[in-house]
Amino acid sequence: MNMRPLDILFIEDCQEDIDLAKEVLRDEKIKNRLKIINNGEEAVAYLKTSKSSQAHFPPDVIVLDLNIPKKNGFEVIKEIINDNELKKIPLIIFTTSDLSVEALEKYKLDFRQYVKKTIDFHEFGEAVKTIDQKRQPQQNEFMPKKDINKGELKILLVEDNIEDAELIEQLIWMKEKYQWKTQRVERLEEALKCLSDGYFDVVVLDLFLPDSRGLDTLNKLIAKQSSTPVVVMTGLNDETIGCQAVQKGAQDYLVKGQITSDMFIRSLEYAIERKKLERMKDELLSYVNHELSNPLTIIKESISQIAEGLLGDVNAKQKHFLGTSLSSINRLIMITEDLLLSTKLELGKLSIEKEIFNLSELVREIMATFQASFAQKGLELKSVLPSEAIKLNADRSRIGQVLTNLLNNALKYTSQGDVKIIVEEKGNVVQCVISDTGQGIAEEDIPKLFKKYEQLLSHKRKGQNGTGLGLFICKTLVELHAGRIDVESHLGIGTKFIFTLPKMQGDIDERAEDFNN
Amino acid sequence: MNAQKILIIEDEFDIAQLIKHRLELEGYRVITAADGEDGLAQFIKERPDLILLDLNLPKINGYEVCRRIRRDQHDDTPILMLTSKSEITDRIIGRVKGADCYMFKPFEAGQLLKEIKSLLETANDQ
Repeated sequence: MNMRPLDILFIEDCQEDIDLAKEVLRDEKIKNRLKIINNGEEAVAYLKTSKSSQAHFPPDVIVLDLNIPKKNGFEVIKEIINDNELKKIPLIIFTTSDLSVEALEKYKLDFRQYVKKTIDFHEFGEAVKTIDQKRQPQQNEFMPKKDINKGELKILLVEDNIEDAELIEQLIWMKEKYQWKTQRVERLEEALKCLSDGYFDVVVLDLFLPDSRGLDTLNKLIAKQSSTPVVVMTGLNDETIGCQAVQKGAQDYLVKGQITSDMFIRSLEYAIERKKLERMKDELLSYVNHELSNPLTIIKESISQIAEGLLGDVNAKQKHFLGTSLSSINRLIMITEDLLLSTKLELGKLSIEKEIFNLSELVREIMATFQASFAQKGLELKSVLPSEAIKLNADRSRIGQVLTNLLNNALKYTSQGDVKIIVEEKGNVVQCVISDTGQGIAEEDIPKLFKKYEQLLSHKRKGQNGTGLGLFICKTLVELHAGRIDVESHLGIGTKFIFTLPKMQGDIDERAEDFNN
Repeated sequence: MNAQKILIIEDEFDIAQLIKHRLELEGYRVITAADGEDGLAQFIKERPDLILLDLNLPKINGYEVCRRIRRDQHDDTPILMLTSKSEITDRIIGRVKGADCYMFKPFEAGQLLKEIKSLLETANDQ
């Protein structure tokens, strides 16, 4: 049933690059067996014996660094393309410089694919993934096809109730349009294993399983495998959890007992298409963000230099307009960053990099960056921090981001009074409260607060539009740390954001560790 | 006066010129290179006190430039990596050995100057 891991022959002598490549393969969730050979001579010998030897088979793909000892990459390529069997193996050239690629062209060597190192590590992952998906499966196992019109789909059905499972299987068989292949498992643990071992077009997931219950089931699944679309099954009268699941990253939900065959098939088809669109959105955003960074840098730095008077005297009126331009550019930069980050969070692509640090110190650092803007508005920024250090094992820069976003909000929506940060230990959590004396949030707006792109009507009136992503980002980041965030607010009196993070226990916090893998 | 020399390796001409302008006003001597190959050649010829290095460069990328300076040249001239925030750099950051400091584009000029100053001071102390 399972595809065997992809056999990769990696001809490379630099340990750093090997490590980076391994990391990319892990990120892309490509199951592989890596054979590393650090010189050309040995690599050629290995490839030649692989044709006849029982000990090892030819690899599925060869990744070749051009700059290796003994026989260099060019010579290795020559040996490969002069051999009728070896030249069929996909080859990825791995090089740091365009110069080698020019040289390859000069040699008129027939290489099929090359990838430049490092910057294009993403490209490397994509190239290997393409090869992985295209390779011929052994023992008549049929290929996973991406194109659903071709009619072959692999479904992973995660359901512990045998009657429900049989019903679903029946629904699938009723439609003859497709050649379905279902694999059923009862436990989340088994499902995770299936997903890491083989390819599935879609997962049909019951949230209540023997080893995991509720939305947590979905979270764990997405944390392990974010690229496969998920359709969630819920019980009758329990649509709320279905809606929540869709917000958490499921592509659709179905209510058991209300499903017809047509509806079921359509839901699976849409789920697959929706996931494709999500992926495209992610790639587009990443691309746009990257392409915008240079022009934004140029505009920002040019205007800064003029505004600072580095290119000659600037009168007050000019300075004012330059200042307005700069703050607009900064907002634009913030929007692009928030968009990229929130998309990553949504797709479960962000990993938390933990370190041990003192929260009070971080709070003081972040506050320092805000002092000037608060003073400008005539507001006071105060803090109450415990005298002893508050140690956390968390992603320092991400927690800093949560604080920054919350302070940004407080600053934006408060016109008089003060903003206060209180940090204290409470039982087994560390609590951080950021309260302001601002305009407050209407009760009916509170449920919308942490959702993406929700620009609250009451705030829009004041012409204070942010990205609508700040609080969504805060919530997701806090939850990635196994913490929670809440809000209390009264119109005209002020708003209080309260977030808690688990206290450092020993060296490792297991739950957040899960998200990391 | 013996001004300190900074090498900017950046393929976006306008960015290189803007940084050059600002640094010259601060009293530094500035040399620029538009790709990794030229950057390495300039480094060997000019022996700058500090290098501002873009990650995504033609011919030889910033990561490799950094490695060649450290590994092949056995040189510990401070290197400040200036790169755009994207998925890939996120992953690579921290794994690229040898750079002393990272900054993201679009940068705050004040912060850039501060980092440059502190890197140069640390280098002088040693």
